[in-house]
Amino acid sequence: MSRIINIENYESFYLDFLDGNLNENDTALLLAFLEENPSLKVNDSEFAYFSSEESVQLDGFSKSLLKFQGFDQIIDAQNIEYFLIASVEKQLSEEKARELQQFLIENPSFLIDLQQFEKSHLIADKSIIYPDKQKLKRGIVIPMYARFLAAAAGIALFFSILNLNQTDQPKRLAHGGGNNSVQVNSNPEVKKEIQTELIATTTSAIVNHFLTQEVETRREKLLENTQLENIEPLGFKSIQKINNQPLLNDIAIAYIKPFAAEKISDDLNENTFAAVEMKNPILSVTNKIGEAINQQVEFKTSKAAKKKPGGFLFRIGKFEISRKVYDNTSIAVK
Amino acid sequence: MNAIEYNFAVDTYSDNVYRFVLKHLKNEMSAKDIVQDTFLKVWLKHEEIQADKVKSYLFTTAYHCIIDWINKEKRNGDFEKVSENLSSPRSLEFDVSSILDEALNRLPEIQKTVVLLRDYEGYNYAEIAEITKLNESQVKVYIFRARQALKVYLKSRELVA
Repeated sequence: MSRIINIENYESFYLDFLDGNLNENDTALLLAFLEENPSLKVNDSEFAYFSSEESVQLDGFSKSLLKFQGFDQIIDAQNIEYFLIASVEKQLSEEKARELQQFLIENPSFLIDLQQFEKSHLIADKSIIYPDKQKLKRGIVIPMYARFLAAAAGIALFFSILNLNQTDQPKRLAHGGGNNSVQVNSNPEVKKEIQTELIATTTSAIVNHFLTQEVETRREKLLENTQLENIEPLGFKSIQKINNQPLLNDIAIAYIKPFAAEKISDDLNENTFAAVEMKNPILSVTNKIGEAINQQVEFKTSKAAKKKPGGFLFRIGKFEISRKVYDNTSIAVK
Repeated sequence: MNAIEYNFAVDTYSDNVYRFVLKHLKNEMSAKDIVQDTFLKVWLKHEEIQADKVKSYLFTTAYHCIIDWINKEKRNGDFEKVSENLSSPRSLEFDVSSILDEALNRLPEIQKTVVLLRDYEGYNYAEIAEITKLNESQVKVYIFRARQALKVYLKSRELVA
């Protein structure tokens, strides 16, 4: 008996047609329907992979269930399986669920079918896992600045190791000469004097005595312990860095007015004013890194002295690694 | 989706995709290849894919890879042999899980696909329709037919046991 094919049920007919389960009359009806509604025609190629060759002939799976029109039908023995599946699939409204429950109470033989549908729910075997997850993963793109940092750190390590084995004499800065700088705390009183023609002098005695003393005490100690008794220091400066290299201890220097060079030359020798020169061997690299990360990047090295290893300074922004090397008898200020 | 989100998707979904593919192909090597191919394709388009859509994208890609693989194997005549071997009853012991596996292997591929997406991944009909490029009604019909087939097979094996 042929039925009416409409927009609501044509898909079921079409699936049967594709499975080869549609009789001649229904096939003719379906084709006529599709001719009238060409937009509904499904491309056969979509089903080509899943042809009816592998289909299981569903014993007892009645055409009436396949052509089921909706859930508004009254539940009966003919359409009960559809409602059971809908129940397992959680597609029933509360009203229909109650109706089904009542039907099952009245017809308990269908409870077995319900249980079997519930058992048909597939459960994934979690023990099956994909073994090569790491191969699927992709490396996180490392920002360019991080690569520069890594390279700079490597270079710093290389130079620090290299300098350990160097025994060249450090370059000395002559009194008042050279381009190196000594960073001092700003002191308005002394600053004015510094701007005039001044020379700064220091000896190991001065420096050592002023490591931890207050200014006034320093002044006294200076007069007592140096050979510069006749020279009244104009002021004192605590030094924080030499050649951009921070100092561990508080070091002070005294400023004095110019005096005859020969007067102090007796007390001074090459080592007196020696300051270890530090250079940046990779200035262009550090500049580029600094531009890339918008941070100050500095890398400097100094050669090793006879009995002292070379030093290095590596700084990125506020992060800094250094090995300090300086001669505590020699600080020069231009 | 960035690399971190992609790698998170690998950790989260690679097992699911693998199980889904393996259930279809019944061939570990091919399943691994398809999973690898699936994630490669997703990675190539990772900048276009939103992180919250990646699971659906993965299963859609895997599904199409499966279709391609089956189509290729069918041309070579290998797929039916594998299916026949694995779909033949292995034991008379009643074990719901293994019997369901047998029943699943007897389903048409499209039914297997929709019911796996439904049961394994908990997708609703609309999501399954999106992945398989079917419409919701078709998905519903396929799932109902699959349930009926699984139940019939289960019942038949219970009777044998």
